[in-house]
Amino acid sequence: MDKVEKSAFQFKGFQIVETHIVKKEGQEVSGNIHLDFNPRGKILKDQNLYKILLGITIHDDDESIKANVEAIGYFEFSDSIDQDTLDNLFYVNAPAILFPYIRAYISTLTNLSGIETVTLPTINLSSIGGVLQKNTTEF
Amino acid sequence: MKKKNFIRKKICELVLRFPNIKIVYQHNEMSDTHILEIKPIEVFDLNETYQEFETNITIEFDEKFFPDSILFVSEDSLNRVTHPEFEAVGLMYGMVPNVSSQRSYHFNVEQGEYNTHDRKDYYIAA
Repeated sequence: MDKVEKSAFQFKGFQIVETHIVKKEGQEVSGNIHLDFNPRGKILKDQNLYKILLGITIHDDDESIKANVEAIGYFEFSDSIDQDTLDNLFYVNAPAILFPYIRAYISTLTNLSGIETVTLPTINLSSIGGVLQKNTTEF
Repeated sequence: MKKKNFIRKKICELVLRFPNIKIVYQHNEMSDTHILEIKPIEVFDLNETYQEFETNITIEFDEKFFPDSILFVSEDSLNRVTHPEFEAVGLMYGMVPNVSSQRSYHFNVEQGEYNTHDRKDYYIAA
């Protein structure tokens, strides 16, 4: 049997670092939910570590619900990866890997808040790559 | 008396089978209607297993006690229980989120277009 090779880019885990939810009492959540992303990144070259901080804000039309969740995803990368591939992994793959965790967290958060569950749709986040790259610093 | 005993027995069976519901009961003597109010409305409206139980109870009651009638209502009904004679609360009433109460939303993504194409470049990761 062939030996399974260790991936050159590994997801090491995530943490929810900030949660803020406001629900106006007595006001129903409207069916129209607005979704905003705030991606940032840090490359710790000497540790071969990449940290992505993905902030997601949701609110409805009347702001009867507003929630902000920020999560950090930790990734380890190998020196052997060329820069183009690395850019793709940092700015396209990393947010795509982290997003489902935040999505699940928001579903649970709204479900346990006594309101109807907000389940975010699956989204292709490849287009936040440009913003993320701009907001990424290397140390 | 037999009718009320039958209903009490059925109410107990219902809260044991569906521990996330609450039932209040009142007999309307003017119309000989036995009203059972079920909460939460999501179970009443959407839970098909519950609805099957409700139908079976109604049929059994009609067979045994006609011309008395049994009426199941919920929070949105015009007929409500105002003076409960009997009440039964399931052990998990108010504790279990109703998964069936999920609603669909329309999502507007604020920055840019995120749903453009189906890239699957994350296969390299993890």
